[in-house]
Amino acid sequence: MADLDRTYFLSADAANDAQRSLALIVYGRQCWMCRQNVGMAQAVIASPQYFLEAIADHCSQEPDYLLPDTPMKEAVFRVLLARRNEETTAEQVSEELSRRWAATQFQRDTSPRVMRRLLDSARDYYCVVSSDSGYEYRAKIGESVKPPKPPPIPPPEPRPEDPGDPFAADSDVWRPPPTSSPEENAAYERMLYWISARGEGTWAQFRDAARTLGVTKDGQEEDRRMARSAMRRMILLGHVDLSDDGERWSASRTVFVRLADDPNAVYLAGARVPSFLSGFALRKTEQLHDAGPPRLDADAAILQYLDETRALGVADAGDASERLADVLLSVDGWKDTLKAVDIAPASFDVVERYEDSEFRPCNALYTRDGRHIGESGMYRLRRESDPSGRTWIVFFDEPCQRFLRGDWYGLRFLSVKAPSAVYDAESGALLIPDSQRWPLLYERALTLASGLLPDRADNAAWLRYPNLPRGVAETLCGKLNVNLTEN
Amino acid sequence: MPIYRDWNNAIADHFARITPRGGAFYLAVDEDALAEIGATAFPHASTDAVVDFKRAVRNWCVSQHGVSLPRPGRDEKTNAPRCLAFLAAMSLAAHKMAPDDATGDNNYFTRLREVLGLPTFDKGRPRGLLPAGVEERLWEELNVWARGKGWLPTAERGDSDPTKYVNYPLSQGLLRDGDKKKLDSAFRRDAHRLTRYADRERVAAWFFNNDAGFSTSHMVKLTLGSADRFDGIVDAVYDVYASVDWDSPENSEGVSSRRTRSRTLQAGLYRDADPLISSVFYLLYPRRQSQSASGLSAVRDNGDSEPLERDSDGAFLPLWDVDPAGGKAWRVTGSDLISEMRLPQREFWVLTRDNPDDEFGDFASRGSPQLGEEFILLCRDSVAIQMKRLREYGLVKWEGEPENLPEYAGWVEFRKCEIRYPGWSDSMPSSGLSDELRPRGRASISLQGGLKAAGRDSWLEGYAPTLWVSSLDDCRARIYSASQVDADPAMDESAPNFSPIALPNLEPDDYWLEVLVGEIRADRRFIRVISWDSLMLAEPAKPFGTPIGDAVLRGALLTPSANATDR
Repeated sequence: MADLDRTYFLSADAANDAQRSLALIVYGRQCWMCRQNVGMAQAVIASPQYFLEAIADHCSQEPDYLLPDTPMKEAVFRVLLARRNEETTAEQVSEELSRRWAATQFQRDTSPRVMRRLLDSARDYYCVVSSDSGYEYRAKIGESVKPPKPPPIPPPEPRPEDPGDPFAADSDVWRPPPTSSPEENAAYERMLYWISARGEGTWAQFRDAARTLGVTKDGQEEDRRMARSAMRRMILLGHVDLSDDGERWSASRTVFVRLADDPNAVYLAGARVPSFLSGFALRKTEQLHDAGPPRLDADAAILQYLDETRALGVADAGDASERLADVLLSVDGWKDTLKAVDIAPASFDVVERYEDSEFRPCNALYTRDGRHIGESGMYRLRRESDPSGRTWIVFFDEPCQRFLRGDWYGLRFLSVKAPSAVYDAESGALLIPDSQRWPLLYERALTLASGLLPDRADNAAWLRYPNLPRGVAETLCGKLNVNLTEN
Repeated sequence: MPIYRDWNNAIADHFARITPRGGAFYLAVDEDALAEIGATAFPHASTDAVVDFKRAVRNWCVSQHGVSLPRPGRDEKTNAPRCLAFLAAMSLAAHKMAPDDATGDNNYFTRLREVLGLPTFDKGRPRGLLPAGVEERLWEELNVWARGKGWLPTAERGDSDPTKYVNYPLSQGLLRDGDKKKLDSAFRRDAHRLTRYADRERVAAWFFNNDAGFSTSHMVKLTLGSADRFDGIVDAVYDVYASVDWDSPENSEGVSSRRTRSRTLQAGLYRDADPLISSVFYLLYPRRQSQSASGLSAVRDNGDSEPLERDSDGAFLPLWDVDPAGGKAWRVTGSDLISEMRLPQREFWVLTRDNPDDEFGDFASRGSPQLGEEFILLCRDSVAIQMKRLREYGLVKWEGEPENLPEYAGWVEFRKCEIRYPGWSDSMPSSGLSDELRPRGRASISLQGGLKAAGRDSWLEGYAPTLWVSSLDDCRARIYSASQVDADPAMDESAPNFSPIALPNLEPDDYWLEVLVGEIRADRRFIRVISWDSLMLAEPAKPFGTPIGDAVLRGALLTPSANATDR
C-alpha cells in the first residue's frame, strides 16, 4: 500500500494485545471539566468510546487541547481523538496541526512525512495502528455508556506509612534489611578512596564506579536506586558534597568531628586514601545495618596536634551536629532554598503522583492559561522519547506555582501531613519513622552526631539515630515542625 | 647571555605552558619554536635566539670535535632533565632534514653536525655518540619526565637497525622546515576553498584528503602512520595554516621562513543540554591552544567582558550561547599575544566527548571522531542529506530520527552517531562532511569500563579496562611496559574486530597498548595502572557545598561564607 493511501486509527484490539487500558489512555486526554464527571477508578472499568465522544464533542474545542508545545506524538494522537477515530491519513493530520498551530511562534515540522513517521511508531503507547497492520478498523472502540458510579468507599485500612510503635519488635509493617557484611563495607571503603582520589566527578561516573566496585548490582533500575542510596550515605557521613542539580559531586574536606555525646572521642570524615591514613593511629567501627564506609575513630587528644594535622590538610569540624542544627533554617525556609525548575507538565508523557507510599498515574496536573493546575505533592515525570528511561522527581508547590527539585526524601517529607519522632532518653537516640525520613540536610545533622548511619529500632519501620543529645533533637524537630515525644 | 642551563629551563617552561595535561608531548623544536622560547624567556637578549641556542649547546655539549653528552639527572631548581636542551638540538636537526631526505643515519647526523658546529665532511655519528644508542637513556629520561608531568610521551625507538635510535629525534619532528614551506604555498593556492578562517577540523580534512600534490614524501609517510600521531600532525599543520601571513607575498627560497603565531583564538561549540526541560543550547567554546595566556577576557556584543576561565586540565570553559552558523569574531583583551576570538562559519559541526572512553562527558567540537566513537552531528537541514547518504553506504550509523532544535531553526541534530566502516573508498563522493568523518587510520583502539583513577589514562589496579579494536584488517594487540623498553610484552595476541578483549592482570606500571596490522602499528594508547596504596587525595577544582545563611556546609565542616573557598 502506498504511503499516501495508508490510514490510521485507534484499535481496541491492539490495546488488548499490548495489555493496555485504552479507556485510561483516552480518559487522560479529556479536559479538566470532563474528567470531574468520572473518577479514575471508574475510568479503569469504563468503555473508551464514552471518553472519545466527550473529547470530540467538547474537549477538542477547548483552547488548551492542542497547545503549541504539546509533544508531537501526543499531538498526533489528539488529532485522531478529535476526529472521533475516523480513519485518517498522515496528510490529514498534517493539515489539522498546521491549521491549529498556524499562528504560533513555535516552528514545528508538521509535514506529512514527519506525521507518517510518528503515526507508524505510535502503536505501543497510543494503540494507533495503520490500515495495513492487520488490525480491523472499527469506528467505535466500545459502547458509549457512561460508567456506573463506584460503590461506596470502605473505611480506610491502616495506611502503610503508619509506622506503629517503634519499640514493638513484632511489627509486621516492615522487615529489616540484612545486616551489612564486612565485604559490603569494604566495597564502600574502596568507593570512598576512589572518590577521594578523583576529587570530583559526575553523577554518572559515580554510578559507574559504584557498579564496578560492587557497591551496587547489575540491572538498570536496581543499580540506579542503589547508587542513589550510596550517594546519600556518603553525604550523610560527610564524605561527599553534591551540586544543586545533583549532576556533579566533589569529595569533602578531611576533618575530625567530635562525637556529640563523648567529648573525648573524634572520628574522621571527608576524603581519605590508604597512604594518607597510614599517618594516623585510627580505630575502625563498622557500619552495622546499612552498609557504608567504616567510621575511623581517634581520641580527642589528637586535636592537640592539630597544627601538625593541619599541615596534612585536616581540619577540626568540632561538634558538627550541634553546629549544623543551630544554623539550619525552618522547613519553610529550607523549602525556599530548593531549586525551582521551569517545566511544562504537558512535555512529559508519564506523570505520577506520590500517594500512599507509591507513585500512581495522575492526569490532574496540567497548565491552563499560564497557571499550573494540580495538587501540591511529589510527582514523578518521564518522557517516552528518552531512551534511558530517566525519571524526574519534583515537588509541585501549588500555592507558589513552582516545581521544586531536591533530594527524594526531602521532597517526600514536604508531603507528610503530621511528622512525628520519639526521643529515647535511655539510649540517647532519636527515632523517626522510615516513611517520614528527613530531608538530607537535616538527616546529616543527625548522622554527624555519631558518624554512623541510622540503624533500626525494635520495630524495623523506625530509623534510630544514636548518640544524639536531647537538645539537638529538640532543635531539629522544632525547625521541621516534627511532633517530638519522649519514651 | 643565557647559558645552557638557562636554555634548558626555558625549554622546559615552554613545553609545560603549551602541552595540555593528558596531551601528547612532542619535543618539537624548530627555529620558530626557539624564537618563541627566546622571546619569552630572554626578552632583552640582543642576539638571534637560534644562534644563541646553538652557541649555548655547543659550549656545553661539544668538546674536541665530539659530543660530550650531558650527565643524566634533573635540575635541582626546576626538576627538568638536564639533557633537555641537548635533546632539543637533536630535534632541531630532525626538523632541518629536507622533506624528501631518507631517514637513515647519515642524513640525520649530517644535520646534527651542522647544528652542533661539528665538521660535516665526516659522515655518520660524531665522536661521543658512539656506540649507536648511547644517547637512548637520555630519551628514556625525557619520557619519564613527560609521564611525570601527566603528558603522553612520544619519543620512541625505530623498528629496525638503520633508524633504531635515530627514530627518537625523528619521532619528535612532525613537520620539517621544508614541509612547512610547501604547506604555506599550498594554503595560499587553495585559499578559495579553505578561506582565511577555516578551523582545525576543516584544515585537517583538507590535509588528509588533499591530492593536490603538495605532499612531500615525509608528509605522505605521516598520513599513513599510526593513528595516535594524527592529533599531533593536525596541530602542527594547523599551526602553519594559522600563521600564514595572507597579506604578504610568499617567502622565496633563501628568505627566512620564521613564522609568527596567529593572534586569533579559535572557538568551537559546546553542547549544553538540560534533559529535564528538554532543551539544548550551543555555547561558544574557546579552543585549547598552544600559546597559553592568562588573564584573558572576551568582549561580548553588548560590550560586557567575560573572563576566559580554564578547567583543571587547562581547557577553556564554555562561554555564552551563539548561533552555530558562526562567521563571527569577538575582541579579546588581557594579552599581547591574542587580540580576537573567532567562531568559523560552518554548515555542520561534529561534536565528540572530551575523552572517548568516558560515556558520560559533554559533547563539544574537539576534532573528528575515531572509529566506533560516539559523536553528535549538528548540521543545517541542507547537510542532512549528506549524512543520510553516508548511512546508505553503510559508513555511519545513528539512533533515532534527526532532532529539530527549537532554539536553532534550520538546524538538526543526529545523535548517537558512530563511524561504522573503516574502509571508506576513494570513490565515495567527496563532501565537506565525508572529508571530516573519513577514518584516518586502518585500525583504532578504544577502552571501555574498568575503574578510572584521577588522570586521563589511569586505571586502578585490579580494574583495568576492556580493549576494543575497530578495523577491517586482521590485527594483533600488544601490551608492553612503557618504562621497561626491553621487557617481554604482557600480552601479544590476535585482536578480533569489534569484540571485547580482556586485558591480563597488570601490575602497577605504565603501559603501551598497540594494535598492529601486519607489522605496521596502526594505533597506540598509553595507560597507567596505579595501586590503591599509591592513591593521593585530589583537590576538587570546584568543591560543592550547601549555603546555609551566612555559612557554607561542606561535608561535616561548617564555615563562614567568606572562607568557604579556602581548602
